[in-house]
Formats: sequence, C-alpha cells, structure tokens
Amino acid sequence: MGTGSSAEFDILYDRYSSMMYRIALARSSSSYDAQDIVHDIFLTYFKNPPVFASEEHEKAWFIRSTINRSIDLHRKQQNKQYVPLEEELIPSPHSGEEENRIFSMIEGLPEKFKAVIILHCLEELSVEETASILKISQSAVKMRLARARERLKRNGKEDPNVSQRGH
Amino acid sequence: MFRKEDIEAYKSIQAPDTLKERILESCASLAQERTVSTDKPIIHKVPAFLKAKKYLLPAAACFALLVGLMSGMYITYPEATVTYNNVSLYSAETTTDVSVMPRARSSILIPLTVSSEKAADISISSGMIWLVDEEGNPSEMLGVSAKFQGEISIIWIVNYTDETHEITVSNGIKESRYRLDFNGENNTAVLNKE
Repeated sequence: MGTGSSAEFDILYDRYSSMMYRIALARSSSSYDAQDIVHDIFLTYFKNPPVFASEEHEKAWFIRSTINRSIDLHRKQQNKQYVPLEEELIPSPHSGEEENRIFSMIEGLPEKFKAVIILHCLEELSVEETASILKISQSAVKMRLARARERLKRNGKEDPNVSQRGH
Repeated sequence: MFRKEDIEAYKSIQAPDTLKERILESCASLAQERTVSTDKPIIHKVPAFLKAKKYLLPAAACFALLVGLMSGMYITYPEATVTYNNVSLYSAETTTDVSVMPRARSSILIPLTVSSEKAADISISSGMIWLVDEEGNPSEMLGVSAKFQGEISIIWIVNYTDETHEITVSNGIKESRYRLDFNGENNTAVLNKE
C-alpha cells in the first residue's frame, strides 16, 4: 500500500473515517459524494503521506481536507448544475429522523457557520480545536456560533427546548 | 444548540463498510501500478513495432534526410515523446487503453514517461501531475504544468468524468496534444494523440 502499511491504514480508518464521512455527509447531497470525499482523502494520504507533528495535527489534517474537498465539490456541483443519472438509485443518506432533523437544520447555513456548527456542536470539538482546524481565532469561532444560532432561530429551525452547548 | 438525541443520532452515523474495501482496492491498485512502473525499465525509447522494423529505419532515415535537404528544410529538434507503460504515444494512429482504477469513481492515475532533448513544457487541462521517483512513488507535486528536459516519469491524476482531458507537451518548436477519453460503459479510458 504505497508508503503506508495495512496496519497503519486500519488505525487511521478506524480513527477518522466515520467522522470524515459525517462531516462530508453534512455538506454534500449524497452518500456517494461523501464516500468519494473520504476515499480520495485516504488515497491522497497514502500517495504522499504528510508528516505530522502530533496526533492533533493529524486529526486536523483529515478534518480540514474533508471540509476543503466538500466545499470544492459543492462549488463544482453549483457550477455544473447537472443531475446525475444515477441519482434515483442513490439511497437517502439521512435515514433516521434525528439525522434528518440535524441535516435540515444546518442545510441553509452559510459555509463558515456550517463548519463551526459541525465541528463544535456535532463533532463536539472544543472551541480551541475548532479554531485551530479552521485556522481562525477562538473569538471568531464564538462569533460564528452566535450568529449561526441567531440564523437558526430566525429560520425557525431551532427547537426552543434544545440544550445549549458552546460558549 | 441541538437536542442531545439529535447529536447522538448524528454521531451514530458510521462510514459504510463497503467504503473501507473500496479504499483498500484503490490503494492496492496504486501499489500495483507502482510495482509495474518499478519492474519495467523506465527508459524505453524505441517502440516495439519499430524494433520489428529496425531494418527499415536506416533506409527511412536516409530518405527523410534526402527529402529534407532537397526541400531546404532541416529537422532541428525531435518532437517531445510521451510514453504510457513504455509504449510511445507519438503516432496519430496510436490508441492506448489506459487502465482505470476499479470502482474509484472520482479519479484515475495514469503513469507516463515524458522525454525531450530540448527544454520543454508539459501541461494538463485538468487534474494534477506528480513527479515519480526512481522507485515509482510520487515524490513531488508539479501541479498543472511543469518545465523539464531529458526524461521524467510522472503520474497524471485526473477526475473520472465524462469530460475530455488533455495533456500537452511542447518543446518550443513542436507541440503534441494527447486526449484522454473515458468510456463509462466498460469503465475504461483511451489516450490518443490529436
């Protein structure tokens, strides 16, 4: 497997694949797109493994790559405005009611708000980790979280009984 | 901001089991391609069919020189050549099947060797070029274009879409374009010189 080993792949896959898949799924319209994103990132990793200073650095690389590829894919799809023939065959990626609720809530958010919501509120990363991964300040993360919450309230998508997490 | 049960439902989402198999297959294909390019000699300048006709080459060369001299034209530099799996793609009739990575819907890898006696440019219409080291491993990302002289081995990574992709090699005097066409029905691709 190139410069990586099978054991190394197993460890990395178990550690990051589901998180990457969820992040990609929250930003893409199909399970297949999300799988493609995860697939491509792992392949990129094994073609030319980056050198990481720490496990946090490694985690940040996988998350940032997922976000960047998701944004790229979204832009390409917006530019092309085509519907794949196979779409009818693609099962809904959001099978559960709760999952549907989450994805529909964040669907209309601008990209920069969506990223902090996914990382901080859903993946439950700290403000510090979120800021580091998105390469923004911690105060910017808090600001975006506040604005995202306002946006959700304005859209009437926030449940008044929900628990508050974050700042 | 979200209900606890919503977050739990979100976090219960797992990557499909088939995804791991797919990635492993792609990595295995990548390793296989690297092995192939390592096992075979990198430098292979004479196409097989020309070897079979080696006795005709001296006569053809003399004839070409004679024609050139008679018409007052001189061939100053040969065209930069591109080879796929050690098969030259210089002929307009050349049609080379390019192996497509199984079930990798988004991208394929095409190992190429490019050579030019004169300083030349290589560029692609889309995708990414990686320089390959002596062991066949991608060693340096070149991006969408690069300058080179002599012989280099590269991997062209390109999205598997219905669009046509091109790779162009120019030594300042002659330019060669190669077109990559995908066939979605049988999951193959063909590289042609234009």
